[in-house]
Amino acid sequence: MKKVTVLLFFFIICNVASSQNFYSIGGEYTVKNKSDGASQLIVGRFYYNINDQYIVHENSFPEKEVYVTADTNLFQINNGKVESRTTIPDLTHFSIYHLALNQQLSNYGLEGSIYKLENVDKEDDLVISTWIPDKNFKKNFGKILLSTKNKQLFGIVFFDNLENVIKKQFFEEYVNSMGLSFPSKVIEIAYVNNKEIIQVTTYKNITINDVPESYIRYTDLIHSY
Amino acid sequence: MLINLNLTYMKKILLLIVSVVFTGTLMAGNADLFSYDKAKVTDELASLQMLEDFVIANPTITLTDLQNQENTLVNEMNLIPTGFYNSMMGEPPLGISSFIWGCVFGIAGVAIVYFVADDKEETTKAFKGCVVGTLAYTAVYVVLYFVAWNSVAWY
Repeated sequence: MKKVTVLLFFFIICNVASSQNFYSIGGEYTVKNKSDGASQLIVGRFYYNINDQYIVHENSFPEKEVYVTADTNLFQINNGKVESRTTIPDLTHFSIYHLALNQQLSNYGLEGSIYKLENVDKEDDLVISTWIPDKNFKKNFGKILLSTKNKQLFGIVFFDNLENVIKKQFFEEYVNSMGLSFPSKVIEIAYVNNKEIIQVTTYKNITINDVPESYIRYTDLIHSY
Repeated sequence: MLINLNLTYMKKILLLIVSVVFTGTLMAGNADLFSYDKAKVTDELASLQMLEDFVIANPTITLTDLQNQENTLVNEMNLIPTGFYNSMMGEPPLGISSFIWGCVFGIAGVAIVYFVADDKEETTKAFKGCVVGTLAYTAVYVVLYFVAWNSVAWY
C-alpha cells in the first residue's frame, strides 16, 4: 500500500513538474508566401508568455512593425506607440506557441474544438486520425485528416464539405529546445480556384523560458493604453 | 457432412480474407495525401529565398529602402508592403494575415480564414454561436461547481 502511495505521489509530482516546465517561447521567424501575382516576405521575432498570454510579433521586414495579440485585441505598435487596435476572436489558446508550450501540438488544438475524433488508423510510419465537424458545422466544414509521426504532428489535410482538399499543412524539422519540441518549418499549400498558394514559415533560434526585455516593454505599453 | 462443414469454414475464411483486403484497400491512400512536391515548393519560392538571405545578411534593411535603391531583386517581384496581409485569400480577413490565422492560430484560425472568405454573415453567426456556447458551458460549469461545493460543505 505504501509503495503504491509513493508511486502515485511520484507520478503526480512528475506530472505537475512537466506541465509547469515551459512558460514562454520566443525565436526568429520568416514567412515566404507566393500566390497568383504577389509575393510576401516577413522577417521578424516572436515571443509568447503563457502567464499573461500576449503574443508579440516584432517584424523587421518588409517594414519595422510590432503586432501584439492580447485577448480579443490585436495592437499595432510603431515607433514605441500603439498605432491601432483591431478586435479579433480570442484564439490565443489555439496558437502554435500555446499548444507547443502545453505539449498539445500533436492534435493541433482539435481536441475540444468543433471537431470530433471519428477514427484513428496506422499507415506506414504515420498515425492518421480523422476528425469530423460537429453536426451544426457540417454545412460549411469538411473533415480533417491529421497525421503524427513519432508522436509529433506531421501533417494536416483540410477538406471542404464536398470532400475536396482545400489546404495541406506540414510540420517539419522539429528542434528540441530545453526539452520542448517545436517544428522549425511549416509548409502550407492552399488550393484556391484550381491554383496552389504556397507558404513556408521557418522558425529558428527558439528560446524557452526566456522573456526578453522588449516583450516586457511592449506588454507594458499595452497595459498603459 | 464433414465436407460440407469444411466448405462452410473455407467460405467464412475466404470472406474474412476478402473483407480484410477490401477494407485495407479502402483505408489505404490517406497516407498519400500527406505528401507534397518539395522540389516545386523550393522552385516557387526561390526568388523569395534569395531575398530572405539578403535581408538576413542586412538586418536593418526594409522594403522601402530596397525600393528606393531600385533593387533588382525586389523590382522583379510584386511584394506586399506589409507583414499583415492575407495574400492566401486575396483580402485580409478582419485585417489580419493568413500567417497569424493559419500558422499561429491553428485550426480556429484556418476555420476563420475559410469562413470569412466564404461567407461573412455565416462567420458572424458562428462567432456568436461560439460565444453563446462558451457562456452556456461556463454557466453550467459554475452551477455544477457550486452544487459540488455545497454538497461537500454539507457533509
